[in-house]
Amino acid sequence: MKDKTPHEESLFIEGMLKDDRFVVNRIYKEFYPRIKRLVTSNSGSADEAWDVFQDALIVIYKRAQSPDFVLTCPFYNFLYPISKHIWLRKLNKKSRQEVTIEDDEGYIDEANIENVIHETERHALYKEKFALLGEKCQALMKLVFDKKKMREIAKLLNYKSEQSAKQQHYKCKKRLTNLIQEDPRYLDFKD
Amino acid sequence: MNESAIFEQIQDYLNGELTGTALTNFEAKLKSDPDLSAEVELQRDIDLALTDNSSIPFVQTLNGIHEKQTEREHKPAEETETWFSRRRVLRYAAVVAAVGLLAFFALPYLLPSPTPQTALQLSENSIGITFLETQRSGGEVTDVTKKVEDINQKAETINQKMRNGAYEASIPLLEDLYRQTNDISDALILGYCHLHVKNYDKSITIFKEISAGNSKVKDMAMWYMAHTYLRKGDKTAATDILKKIITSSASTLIQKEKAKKLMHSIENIN
Repeated sequence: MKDKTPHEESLFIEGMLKDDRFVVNRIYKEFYPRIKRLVTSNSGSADEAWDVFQDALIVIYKRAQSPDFVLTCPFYNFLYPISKHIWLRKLNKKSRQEVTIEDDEGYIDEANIENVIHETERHALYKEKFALLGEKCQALMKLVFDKKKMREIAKLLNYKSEQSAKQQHYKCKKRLTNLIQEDPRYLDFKD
Repeated sequence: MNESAIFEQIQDYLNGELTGTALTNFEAKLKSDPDLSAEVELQRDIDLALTDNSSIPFVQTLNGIHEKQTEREHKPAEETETWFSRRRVLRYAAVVAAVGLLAFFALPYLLPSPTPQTALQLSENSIGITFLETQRSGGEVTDVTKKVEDINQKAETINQKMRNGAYEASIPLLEDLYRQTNDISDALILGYCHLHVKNYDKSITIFKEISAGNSKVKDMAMWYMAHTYLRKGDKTAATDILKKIITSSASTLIQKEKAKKLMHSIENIN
C-alpha cells in the first residue's frame, strides 16, 4: 500500500484550493521559470509556456478537488511530469508526429502521474465531444457549469419553465455522456 | 424512479442541493449500487472537465500575478528605476521580517525539552518569510517617495539592530514603523522583540490582537503566542492555543503538524 502521508509541500495545494494569493504568488515565482525553461528549450514560445503552466496547475487543482487526493511528493515532482505531458501533447498536435523530450531533470513519477495523465486525456475527450453538441445545448450546459440557477437559465434561454430547462439539460447531458462512452478512447483513459 | 429523475437527483447531489433524508438515502444507495456510483463519478468528472477554467478563483489570481509580472518586464527604463527603488524598500523590510522570523523559528531550541528536528524544519520552512515578503509587496508602499525613503531607512536600521541582537533598541523603532505602515507584519516582529527581551505580557497582547483579526499572519501569531506562554511557564495556555491551531480550518497541514509535535514536546517536559 502506498504511503498516504501528506508531503509538507501540500501547502501549495491548500493555497490553490483556498485561492491564497500569497501561496499562488509563491507557486508562480518558484515554478513558472522552471516550466518556462522546459517549454522554451523544447521549441516553445514564452506564451506557450504560460499556457502549459496554467493548464498543468488547473489539472492539479481539479485533481485536488477529490476528497481522497493527497500530495505525497514535492510539488514540483507532480507539476513537472504533468507540464511535460501537456507540452508533448501540444507539440505532437503541432508537428503531427511523435515528439519526445529529453528528461534531463530526472523527475520521476512519484505521484501516480499515470492517473493524472489519463484524466487529462479524458477531459480533453469530454471537451471534444462537448463541441459536437448543438449550440443551444452548449449554451445551456455552460450556464449550468457556471452554477446559474435553472430558473434563471430558463429565462435567459427562453424555456417555458424551469422544469422544461431541467428536462432539456438532462437530454443534452445524456447525449454528451453517450458520445463520450461510445468513443473507444474512453475505456483507455478510465482510471 | 425513471432515468430522468435519477439524473436530476445526481445533479442535485453534485451541486450539494440534496439535504436531510434525501441525502442520507442517496448516499446509502451510492454505497450499495455500483452502477449509480459509477454514473455519479462520470457526471462529476464531466462537470469538472467542462467547468470554465477562467472562473476558478486561483486561476484569476494567477493570471493577475502573471499580467503584473509581464507588465513589469516590459516597462520603459525610467519607470523601472522607480520600481527598483520600491523593490529596495520591500527588500529591506522583508529582510527585517526574515531575521525576526528566523530567530523565532529557533525558539523550540530554547524550550525545556527541545526537539532539534522541529526547529530545523521550522527554519527550513520558508512560508513565513515568503508570506511576509509578499504581504509587503501586496500592500505596496504607495506613498510619496519621501515617505518611502523614510520607511526604507527605518527598516534598514531595524534590520541592522536585530542582526546585532539589539532587540530592546529595535522596539521603539518598530513601534514607530508600525504606526507609519500599519503593516501587521511589523506588529508580528514587534511582538517577537518583546518576547526576546522577556516582555511576555506585551508580546502576548500583540499576538492576541493579531490573532483576533483575519490577517495572513494570524496563524503565525498564534504559534508564537503559544511559545510566549511556554516561556512564561504556562503550559496549559500554550497547549490550548496549539489545540486551536490544530482544529482551525485556516491552518495548513504543516502548521497543524508542527503544533501537534510541539504539544507532544510539552507533554514530555514533565
